[in-house]
Amino acid sequence: MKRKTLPPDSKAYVELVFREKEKWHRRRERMSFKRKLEVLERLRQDALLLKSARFID
Amino acid sequence: MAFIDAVTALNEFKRRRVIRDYAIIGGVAATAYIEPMSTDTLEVVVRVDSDGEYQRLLGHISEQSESPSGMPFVLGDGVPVQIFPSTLTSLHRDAMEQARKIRAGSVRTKVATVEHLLVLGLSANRLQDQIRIVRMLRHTNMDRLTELFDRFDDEEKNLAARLQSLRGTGVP
Repeated sequence: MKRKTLPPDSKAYVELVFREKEKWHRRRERMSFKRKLEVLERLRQDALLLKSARFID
Repeated sequence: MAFIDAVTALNEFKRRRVIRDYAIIGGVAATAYIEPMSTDTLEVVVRVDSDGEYQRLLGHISEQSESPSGMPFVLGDGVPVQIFPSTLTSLHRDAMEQARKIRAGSVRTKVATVEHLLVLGLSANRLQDQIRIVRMLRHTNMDRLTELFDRFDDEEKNLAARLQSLRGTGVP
C-alpha cells in the first residue's frame, strides 16, 4: 500500500499522541498501591540527588 | 523500599499500642487514587483524644527515630514522616475515622478518602495540592464532597470557592 503524506493541517498525529498519553496516564492510575509507592520512592531519590547536585555547584 | 518501610514502622507502633490508629493523608494518600506525583514526606493523622496523649505518642516515637526538634520524624530508611493529631481539626478527625483500608503488597494500612483529601488539599491550597485536586476530581463522589463542604467549609464558603476557581483553569 502506498503511504500518503498527511496534509500540513492534519491533527491526526497530535490526536494520536494525545490518546496514547492519556492511556499511559490511566495505566499509571491503575497500578497497585505498592508499585505506586515504589515510583514515589524513585521520584524522592531523584529529587534528593538533584538537591545534592545543586549543593555541590 | 523507604515509603513501605515507613508504613511498616507505623504499623509496628500500632501493634505495640504506641499508636491507637492512623491514616495516611497528603500526597502519598492521593497516590492511592491518582498516578504518582512527587512527594518527599509521608503525612499521617493519628487517633488521639488529647494533647497530652499526642505528646506522649511523639515522645515514644522520637525515642526510636531521628528527628531534629520540630521537624518530621524520619522512619523507614530516610522518609520524613509528619504526624498530625486527630484533634487538630474536626476535618482531621473525620478523615481518620472515615479512612479506608488498603494494601501495599502484604502491608496493610489506611488512607483518607479521596473526598477528605480534596477538602484537606483545598485548606492547604499549595500549588502541589491544586494539581492533585484537579486530578482527584475524576475519582470524587460529588454527593460525599458536598456533604463534607456542608460540615467543614467556613461561613464564606471559601473551600467551595477555591474548588470552583480550580475547575476550568489550566492546572494540569
